[in-house]
Amino acid sequence: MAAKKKGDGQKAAAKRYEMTIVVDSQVGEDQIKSVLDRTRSILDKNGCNVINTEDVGKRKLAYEISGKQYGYYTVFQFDGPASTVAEIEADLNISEHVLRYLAVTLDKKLLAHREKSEVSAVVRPDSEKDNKK
Amino acid sequence: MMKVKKKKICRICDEKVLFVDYRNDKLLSKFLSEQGKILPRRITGNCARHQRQVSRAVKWCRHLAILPFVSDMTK
Repeated sequence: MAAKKKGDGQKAAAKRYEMTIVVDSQVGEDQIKSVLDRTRSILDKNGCNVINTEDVGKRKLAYEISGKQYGYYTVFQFDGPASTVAEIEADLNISEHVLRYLAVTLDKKLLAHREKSEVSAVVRPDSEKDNKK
Repeated sequence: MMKVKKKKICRICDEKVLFVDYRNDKLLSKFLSEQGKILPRRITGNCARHQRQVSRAVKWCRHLAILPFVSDMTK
């Protein structure tokens, strides 16, 4: 009985995800924006509830990715079904300016951590790092 | 003579970290060797649960190019 209930709920089951996208920062603001807007439009189309969007900004990559030294980091947090994540990933795979992406389920622990942690605890762009020094 | 071993403490338990964050490169770099390899439990003293969480977080972090696979020193 319990298993059946779980199955019924799966159709509409929306999980909370955190998706980090790294776009090539050399291509200019317009191109970066267009990539992110496409992701946003997919989220809107599927009726996902976007909780938070964090523009981390330009950051030096730890290693070269296809000749690129810098990346533009953005983090989306949203509620939605797994199919939406697959759709976004398919779109990101096609676009040539996207260097890396990572979708992670935002469970209770991570959520609590995100709410609690200070901004400095997570990856910051290079510009802010320089200011600290 | 018997060596006196100092008991290692799991640093993550000790600091009461809620979640080993894959975007927190400062914390994760404590568990890496100079070359950028993940240090074993016998050196870090992490408990099994947190060692697992650290290694997963490091791998995610490397994928996003926040941490290197191989550090610049060894390149």
